[in-house]
Amino acid sequence: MDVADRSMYERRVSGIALGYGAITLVLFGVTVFFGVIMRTSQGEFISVRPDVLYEFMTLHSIGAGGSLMAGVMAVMWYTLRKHLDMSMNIMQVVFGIIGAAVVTIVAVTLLGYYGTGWTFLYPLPFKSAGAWYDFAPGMWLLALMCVIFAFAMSWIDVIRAASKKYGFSNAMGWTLISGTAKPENVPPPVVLISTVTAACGLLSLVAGFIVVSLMLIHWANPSYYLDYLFIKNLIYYFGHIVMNMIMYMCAAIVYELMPIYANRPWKSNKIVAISWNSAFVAVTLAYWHHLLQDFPQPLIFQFLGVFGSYMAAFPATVVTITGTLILIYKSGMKWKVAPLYMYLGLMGWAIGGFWAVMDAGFNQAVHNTMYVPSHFHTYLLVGAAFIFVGGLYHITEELGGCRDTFEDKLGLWTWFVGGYGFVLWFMISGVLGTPRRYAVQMPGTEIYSTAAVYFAWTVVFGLLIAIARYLTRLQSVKPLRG
Amino acid sequence: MVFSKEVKSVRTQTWIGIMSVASLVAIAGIFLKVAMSTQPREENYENITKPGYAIRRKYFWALLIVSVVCLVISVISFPYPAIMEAKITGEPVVVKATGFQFGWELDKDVLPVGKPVRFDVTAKDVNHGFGIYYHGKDGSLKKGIFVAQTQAMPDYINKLYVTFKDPGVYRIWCLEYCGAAHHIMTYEFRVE
Repeated sequence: MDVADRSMYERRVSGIALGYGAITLVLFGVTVFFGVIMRTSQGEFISVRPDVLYEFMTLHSIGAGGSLMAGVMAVMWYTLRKHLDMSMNIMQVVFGIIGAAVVTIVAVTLLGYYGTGWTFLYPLPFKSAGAWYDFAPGMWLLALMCVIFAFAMSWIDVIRAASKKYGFSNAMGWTLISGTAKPENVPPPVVLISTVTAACGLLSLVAGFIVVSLMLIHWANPSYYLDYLFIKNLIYYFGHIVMNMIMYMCAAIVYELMPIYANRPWKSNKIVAISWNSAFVAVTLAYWHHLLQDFPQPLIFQFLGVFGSYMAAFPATVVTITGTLILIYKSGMKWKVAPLYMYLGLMGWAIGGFWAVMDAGFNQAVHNTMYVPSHFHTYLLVGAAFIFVGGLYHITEELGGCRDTFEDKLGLWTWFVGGYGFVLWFMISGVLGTPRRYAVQMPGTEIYSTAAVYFAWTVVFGLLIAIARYLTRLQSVKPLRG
Repeated sequence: MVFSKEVKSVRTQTWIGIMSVASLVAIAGIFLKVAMSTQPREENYENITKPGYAIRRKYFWALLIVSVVCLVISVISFPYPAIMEAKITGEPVVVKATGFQFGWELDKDVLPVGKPVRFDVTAKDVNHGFGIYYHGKDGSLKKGIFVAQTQAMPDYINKLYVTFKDPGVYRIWCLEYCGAAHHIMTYEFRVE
């Protein structure tokens, strides 16, 4: 590669990782804002009409989850390309498709008044009681299908590149588990985790493809009957696993970047391989915990849902989180903002994960109360999102030599304080039995939302500072400046 | 404030609250301790990994024991008909409950105290959540105490067993998002 080619190559790499990082981070901020407006209305500071609030809820859930997923994918792609021949063209196509889908979803939700929440539980999209236009569910589902294809392309590329270099069995860690791995074929943890995540995620996308296709057929021909419980199983298998894959991709990023700051190695071994393959099984079984209140489900599925939820705690905490703590302990590392974001993100994963296991284990006491958003906001808002931003900050440091400023720290700690105050009020109102997804809160429970609003706006300020600083840090990345 | 110790879900929720806070404090404490311990650097990584892996092994076994105990508790407190039928004595009072956008239909408005009641819950149109809340002896308790729940799904019947220990006013609130008026989907019945 000559100098001109090299320069173009670096420019494209930075453009993909940082450019898509910037777009998804801003999009994440905007969709968080919709959530904050929703909470502000629930806290009775403002009054948003219920049907509009449910549209915001839909945009917030699909938007924050989707933008975080796409952003984390870009950071993971950046870390993977140091080991694998990742396709730049595919990433560009992936983000092109996601961009088109985002525009469609925003338009359909706001102009078509669509408001099913991300769960789009059948048959709600087609029975809105007059709240949204008939075209809206079809367009929304088509956009979702585009997102499914985009994510599938990205994950297929991960498996392709990993298999090409290491072979599929090696990349999945199976030869490490069986003890037949040759040293030269042992992939670094980021490759192993990304491959397992991609394989697990792809299966859920197949379920997503099937359920969206079936619902599109129903949209075109309303007399086409679908079994409600079967469709619900497919939706949660798809949604639960895709959301969990965000965190697993974050873990891959941490495995790659944290050793740089700790200046210690983190290599794949049998325990790491067993851990991530058992995570694959656990997260797959755990999706059934979304259907624990559907009593007609076979009893064995209910048991496996709870069993899988408890099992998921093992690979996450015993190997990944404990591994990170061992890596950092007396490492001499200095707490720059990038590793601090990632470290605190892991903490959010641990806390949110613990709450998730309790939700699954004692589901009849807290299901569909505010306890549910408390756990997933903990591992997304102060978990995965932290790791995402930490990853982006790392890249600007690596490519642009950016130094941390006071504002970087201010953004992080404002977001942290706001985030934990915010999720704690979800948690408190959840254990007091407050139902979730109420445009107007159940009488007597408004106070919990009111208290949460102060923290929600604190998150907004922290996030704004973090986004502004990231966009400023981008200026110093030479390849981007051409 | 009416706080019925008889309501099992309240006991469970209280425990979940305590455990949630305890887990947050414990995890944050461990992370803080490790974060404060980075200096000075120990050059020989084995001096860290050896005791670290020993702690990890202990943690693994502790987690395994706690998980198995919790799994057993989870399973024996499953609210499913096959399990509840074995627990109750006598014939239950059967109530047909149907959810629709945006309300509930029940074929009985007054239910007995201290006797098993079986709600046969279904839905006419979309998925709903059948959540029972206790609103005090005379209905004056503004914020209801959560008692029990199941899903309400078209074409399926969710059989929910409840034995009401407290007489008074109960309300059903929808616990599955079902459209633009989800939050006002409520229904009142009495237990005497």
